[in-house]
This record gives sequence, structure tokens and C-alpha cells, in this order.
Amino acid sequence: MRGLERGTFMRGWGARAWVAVGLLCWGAASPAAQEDVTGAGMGLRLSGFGTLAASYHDAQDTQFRARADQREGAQAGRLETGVDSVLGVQADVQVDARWSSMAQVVVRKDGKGEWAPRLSWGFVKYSPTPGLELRAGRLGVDIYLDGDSPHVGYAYTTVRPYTDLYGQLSFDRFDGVDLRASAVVGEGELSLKLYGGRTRGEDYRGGHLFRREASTTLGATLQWESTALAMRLAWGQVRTPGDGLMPRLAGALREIAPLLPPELAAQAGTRAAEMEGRNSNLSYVGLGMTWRHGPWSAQLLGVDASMNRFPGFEGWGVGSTLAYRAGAWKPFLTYSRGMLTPGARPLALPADQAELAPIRAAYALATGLIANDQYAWGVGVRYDLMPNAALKLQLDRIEAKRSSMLLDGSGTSVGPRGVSVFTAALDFVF
Amino acid sequence: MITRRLVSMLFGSLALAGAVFADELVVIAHPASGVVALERTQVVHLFLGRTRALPFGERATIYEVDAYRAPFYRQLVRQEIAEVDAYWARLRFSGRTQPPQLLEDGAAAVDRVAAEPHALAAVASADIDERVRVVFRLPLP
Repeated sequence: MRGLERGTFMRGWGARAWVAVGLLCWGAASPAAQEDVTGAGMGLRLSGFGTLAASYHDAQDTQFRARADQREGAQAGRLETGVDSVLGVQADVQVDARWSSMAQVVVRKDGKGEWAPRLSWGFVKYSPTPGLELRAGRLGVDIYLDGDSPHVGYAYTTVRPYTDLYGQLSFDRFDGVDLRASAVVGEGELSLKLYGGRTRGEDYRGGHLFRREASTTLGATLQWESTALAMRLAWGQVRTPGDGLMPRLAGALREIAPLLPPELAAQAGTRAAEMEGRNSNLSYVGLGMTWRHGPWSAQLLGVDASMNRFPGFEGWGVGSTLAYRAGAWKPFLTYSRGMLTPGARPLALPADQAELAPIRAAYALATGLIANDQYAWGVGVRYDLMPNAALKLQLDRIEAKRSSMLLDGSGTSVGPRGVSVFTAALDFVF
Repeated sequence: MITRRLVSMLFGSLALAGAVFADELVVIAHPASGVVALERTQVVHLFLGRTRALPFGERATIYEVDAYRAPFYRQLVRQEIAEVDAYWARLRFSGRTQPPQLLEDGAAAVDRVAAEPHALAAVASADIDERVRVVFRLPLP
């Protein structure tokens, strides 16, 4: 397990900030940007978005969080603003008809529980024809049906993307390239996007913050979108080389193996080998559909995911939303379910040997880090109170047999429990 | 730009409430663009950013007038302006494409289209003059 040191993060952030500044300087220094700030879309555009949100629930010894990369969640009896609040600032530079760049910095609570900025997008785009785009830099994977980023609350009908599905997929950035080809077909636009690069993101589980700096993200998205109907088929994979995710636990198992009976020693050796030196793939396939007819809109999507890295899992999730637009009001109902079932990795360490207790506990934690079986019902309303600002009120009832999204008071995944979470959010763009 | 958007955000409702419209909105193009008429579907694709190309392949620049946006999209795609704005937030903040440029009034939009051969704008029919060509008409109820 690898914790994230603050110094490492700050050094990393510094590098990303320089990349962002470099992209902007490159664009802003171009003759087109200097000569024409508004004409024909050339020049520099500054914009941004944000969410001011507060969540409340009264389930004791439970923390509600929206994403697996959040260290802290909303605790019982306290208004928590860090679950959904976010501020994003974006700079776009259109150099000419073919070249442009964009940098976006988002401030939100990070995996250390601190408000910190991060570079969420930062790329140079080359578009040789109106239907072809090549981008290089910090990019996002194509998994969100309502929005290509989980942070732009204004783009969503609900307060947040489905926690049961998307909350688990926190490795949603990469440093690399994507290629998008699109064409108008009938009433809609058909597009194919291919992407790949070095994985970025983090994951807080079992009291530890995981990063996958050495991993590679690959993916493809096929989409058709018209005014009435949008469909998206997405495939993605995160490949991780055998650098050992849990070297300390694996080392401990190898150390105690000679002290165990032969059968158990072999079992411990097998588990240690699974933790060490094995390439792994985390794969997902998602299919989503959004339908609009007059004031009605509906969304349905499903994701199938699996991972062969220790402890491995098979998983799936579904999400659906039904909404009705009545002027500025948009009431909605939402349902989602997420299942992540870890692979069977038995290790029957003797319970009567006190010196093995820490290893037993660590192993139980490691194999249960990602287990998840929960569903959520939600009801709420979006009120567009002025241009570019929307107020949302949402009540979610979450029932979990086991959850890696909910945390207990000490920050560990929880067993059976239910929680009703009320959230008020003000989303805005500028 | 940010100041303009903030002012628009704060006072946009008042502007919309006070707007007076003609019987129809029209999409205009430069006479030299080669564009004579557009189908409704083409207008939808261009104004929602699904294509940036005019029928003959040139890159289009799209302009909107703040006060006309709500009735224009309500008639064009049967959606409230809040839905269109949410759609654009999705595209804009993932770096896909930028929304049409907002102009203060119809006269400014006509001036822009008259000066840019590959520009399109949605304005009221009362705003236009001989410098631009109407390529699509959208009657208002």
C-alpha cells in the first residue's frame, strides 16, 4: 500500500500548474490571440463553474461520500460541505481555426481531506477538419453520460452522478492523447473516440490513498446524439504493471510462511504472489441512453466492470433517472445500484496465534476494500433560478449490505446499514 | 468575459422578461457565403455544436443574441433555455467545443454576419437589412 505524502502531491501539483500555464502562454502569445480577442471565436476565453452544497444525515458511525477518492464524507448530525462543493476555472485559447488549447483547474476536497487545486483538463487540440479532433495533454475518460466531467454539477439534473456507479471509478483522468471523429448522420451526430495515456486519479480505501502512477488507460467510445435521443457505448481499461500494490502485506505473508503448516504455507505463498509481480487489468463496458420528449426526460445506463489484480472483483451497476421540466422547475426520481464482488482469496491463518492477529486483520481489510453491494433511491428537484445558476434539493435513501463508498467513523468500509442523505446545492457557471 | 457573463447571469432574467419579439426569428448568413437556405436539422446541428461546417464545408462561426435565445431554442428543439445551457456546460467544460458567441442585440449580430462570410446568427426578422441573407425562418407562436 502506498500512502500519498503531501510533499509528493505538492510537487506533482506544481508540475501540473506549469503545464497549464505553458498551454495558456502558448495560446495567448500567438498572433491570432493578440490581434483578435472576440472576432470569429479566436483568442482567450475565461470561464468557470462551481457548486456550493451541503449534505446532512443522521446515521451514526457512517460517512457518506460521493466518490471513492474522498477521504471524508458527511457525518451524522453535521452539515458537510465537502462532499459536492467544487470550484472550477477554465481558460480556452483559440489560436486559429485548427489549433486551440484549454486548461481547467478544479478546487475540491482531495484524498487527504483538504481543499486543494488540481489540473482536471489541460490539452492542445488540433482539428484538421471540422469532423476530426486530436488532443494531447491531461484528458478525461468517456464514462459520464450527463457530463464529460463529474465536477460540473450544472450539467446534471441531479446533484451528482450516480454514486453507486461512478463513485467507484475515480481513475477518470489520464495524460495522453485522444482522437475523435464525428459526422452528422440524420437527426444526430455519430462520433467515435479513441484514447490512451498514463492513468491519473486516486482512490481512498481502508484508510489508505492509492494512486496508479504507473498504470495505462485505454478506451473507446461510440456515441450517437440527437435532440431527442443520445446513446453511448463506452469501453475502457486501466492496465497496471506488476509493481506490487501491497508489498508490505505480501512480505509479511512470505515471512510467516515457514512458520505455518505446509498447506497454509503454500496458501500464504500463493496469496503473496498474487499481490506481487502480476500485471493487472481493470476493465469496464458501459451502455447508456438519454431520451427526451417534450418536458419529459429519462436516462438509463449500465456498467459491467472487472479487475484481475489482487483481490480482484467482478462488478456491475445500473442507474436511471426520470425527470419532468415545468418552466424553471425540474423534479426528478433516480435509482441506482452497484455491485462489486471480490474474488475468492482464502487464507485460513490460525486464529489462536496472537502474533498473527495483525496480519489476519490486514488481510481481511485488503480483501474487503472494494466489496460493495448497495442501492439508492433519490427524489429531488432542480430549480433554475436565474440564467446559469440552478438550485437543487435532493433526498437519497441508500441501503447497503456492504459498502466501500460509505465509511464508518474510522474511515473504513462498512457492513449492512441504511442512510438517508439530504443535499442542497447551488450550481452555477460563468 | 467573466464580468459580462456575471452581469448576464444576474440581470438576464430581467432582460428576458422585458424583451419584445417580432413574429418570427430568422437565421442569417453573409450573401457571399453560398448558403441560400438551411433545413431545420442543419440549423439544429450548427447551433448545438454538432457540426461546425457550412453546407459547402467552410467552418462556420455562430452568433446568438441573449434576448432571443429562449424563444429560439424553445421553437427549434422544444427545450427550455435551462436545458440548452446545461447541454453547453457539458460540452464547454470538457473542452469539446465552445457555445455560440453572445452578442448584445440584433443589430450587433447583423453587423457581425455582414462582416464575416462564414458567420451565422439568429436574430429577429425586424433586425435584418440588405447586407445579410435569411437562410432559415422560425415562426413564433
